[in-house]
Amino acid sequence: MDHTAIHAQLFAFYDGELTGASRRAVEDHLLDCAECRALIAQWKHVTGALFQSPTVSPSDVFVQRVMRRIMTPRPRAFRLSHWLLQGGWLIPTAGLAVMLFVMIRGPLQQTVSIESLLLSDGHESSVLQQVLTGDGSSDDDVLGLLMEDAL
Amino acid sequence: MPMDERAAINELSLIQRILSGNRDAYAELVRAHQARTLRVCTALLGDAMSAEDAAQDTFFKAYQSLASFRGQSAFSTWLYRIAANHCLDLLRKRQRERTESWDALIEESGEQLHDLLVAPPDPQTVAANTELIQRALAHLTPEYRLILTLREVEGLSYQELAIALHCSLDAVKARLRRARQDLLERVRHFLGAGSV
Ligand SMILES: [Zn+2]
Repeated sequence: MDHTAIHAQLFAFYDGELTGASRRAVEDHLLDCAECRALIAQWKHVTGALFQSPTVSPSDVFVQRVMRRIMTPRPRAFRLSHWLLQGGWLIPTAGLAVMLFVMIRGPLQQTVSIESLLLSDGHESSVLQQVLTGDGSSDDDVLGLLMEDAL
Repeated sequence: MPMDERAAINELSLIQRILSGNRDAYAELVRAHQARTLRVCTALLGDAMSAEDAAQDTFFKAYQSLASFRGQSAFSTWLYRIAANHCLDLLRKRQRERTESWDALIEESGEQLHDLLVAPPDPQTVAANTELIQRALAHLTPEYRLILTLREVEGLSYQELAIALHCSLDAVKARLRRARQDLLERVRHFLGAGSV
């Protein structure tokens, strides 16, 4: 095989990926070709300088740290589907419903009582007057007057 | 039965034990692969602290996806893949943050790099030039650095590289050729004539 064909296989040879006849062909070529020999030598220099295997050893607590990490339950990420299925939405929804009920019911009650007062006549008008003018000293007084009237 | 095959079977049964709820058994797997995983992370990232964290993350991620390991490759190769992906992300992040140009590196430390490259490679010279080596390697693309490290430091075969890098054999050969070409072109003027 000529230089160009071998050149393309040179690194496969260097990497130990060639076998049999192709390996022998490169070996034979290298005996005669200074350029291919130089290239391999250059690469050995470069890789020897830049890609040395580091001499490191794991710390004594390496395994412990990994194990602690896998044993620690992770805070679960929020998932809408889980939240809906597990009924997590019930509590805030119920809370919101109660809040809305209280907000709506309060003024409604007052409106109804004022309306009923306006529609009434006789003794009630004096109660109404007291309510509208703030004459009643307290809500209890107003309630007392209304109760009295009912009786 | 060959030793490797027996070890692989033992490892598979260990993994089965872990998956069936014996989480403590994972420690055995970590113990068996910690040195190799830390070594590849160190070779890729350069500094010991980042490497230890990356190796920890690798084992954590491996545990999380252990059920997907089918034993079609060696567990170590599967682990290389996780470590490689994790370190690749970190290298890409570093690359975005790198400010030094290759020309600036040559201008400032060309002589030192020349001495390193022409001297017979020995561990003492390499140890004395760790910082310079890391600065030089930071100029390779993360993909080139990864494939060269897995091949030159870890000695992975093309087949193992294909598994670890999740690509075809042809892609491995092509990427390896381009990575070597790129590196040799960068340092060619230190080495004299010759090309890939
Ligand atoms: Zn030749």
